[in-house]
Amino acid sequence: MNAFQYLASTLLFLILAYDLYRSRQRLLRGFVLLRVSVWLYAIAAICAPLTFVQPFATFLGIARAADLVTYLFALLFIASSFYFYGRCLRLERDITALTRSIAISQASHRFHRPDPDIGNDHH
Amino acid sequence: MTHPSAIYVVIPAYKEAARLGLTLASLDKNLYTVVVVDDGSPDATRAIAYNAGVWVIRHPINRGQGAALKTGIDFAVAQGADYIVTFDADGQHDAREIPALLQPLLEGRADIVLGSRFIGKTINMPWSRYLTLKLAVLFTRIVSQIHVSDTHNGFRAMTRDAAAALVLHQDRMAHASEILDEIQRLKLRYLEVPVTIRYSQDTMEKGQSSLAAVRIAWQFLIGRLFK
Repeated sequence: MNAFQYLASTLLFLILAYDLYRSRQRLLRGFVLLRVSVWLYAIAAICAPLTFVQPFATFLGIARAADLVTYLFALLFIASSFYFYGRCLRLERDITALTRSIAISQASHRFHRPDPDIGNDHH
Repeated sequence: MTHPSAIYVVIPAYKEAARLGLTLASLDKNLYTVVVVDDGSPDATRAIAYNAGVWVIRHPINRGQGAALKTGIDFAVAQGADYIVTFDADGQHDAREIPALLQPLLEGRADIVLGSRFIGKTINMPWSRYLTLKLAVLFTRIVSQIHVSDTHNGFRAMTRDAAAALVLHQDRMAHASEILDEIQRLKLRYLEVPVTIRYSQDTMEKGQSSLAAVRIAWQFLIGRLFK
């Protein structure tokens, strides 16, 4: 193993330990198990890429494990960008709907529904 | 003939303290019920509208022209408007042309009437704006499949039913393209009517730059993906 593998696997192990500590009350729930599995696989893939990544790369017809990782990250980046953009857009729409509701409920008219916050200018 | 107060003129306004007073003075309050939607302006826009004796709706935070327009339309529909006219706050539009926009609606010939500066006239329009608007027309014909001569004109009139049916998600400037999309989706009957658009130094400085057209097109296309 090289220095990067030692550093990265140590960091991932610490993250895994912290995640397990935080989720100790609900370790057997599906999402927590999935997350723990991802951390464990990432540690294994970094420490022994020829064992844990190369077989998948070969199976998919990609020559090198590094290429497979690059392709996966590119796809994940695009998917997550769309996901977060969509969430952001929907959040913006919710904010607008809330703003609209507040604004309409507080509609004012100098003669029909006076607003005490605005001083009348009778000139 | 419909009762005059059932014709609502909706004016979205943001930082229009310098121009709104003149715009409101040009509108006959005996003929129209005027609604100003102040889109969270930090200046005196709200107070000017209030003191002019029109309905004032204030967004607590700035949400964009499209959002303000939709707020005004929703308010007008809730108040019982029969016809709704959308009008700019900055004095670019001529209030004397409102009857011409309303005429096809009153005669039952259309559900929505779009003002067009290209079959009407423009005063002091820069060539860069002319070019941008013509490209926008081409873009709209390709994307929205609707044949109009002017795509980003805020001077329109619509019936109550058409206004209530419009589903508008675009908060910013892309709402104009979205309205055309909605006309197609809802199969609304539309007509174009010649109007006059007056450009001044003031309105050009505050208005969208021609480069903003790219951003508007992007917002419109991406908004379509996340309906």
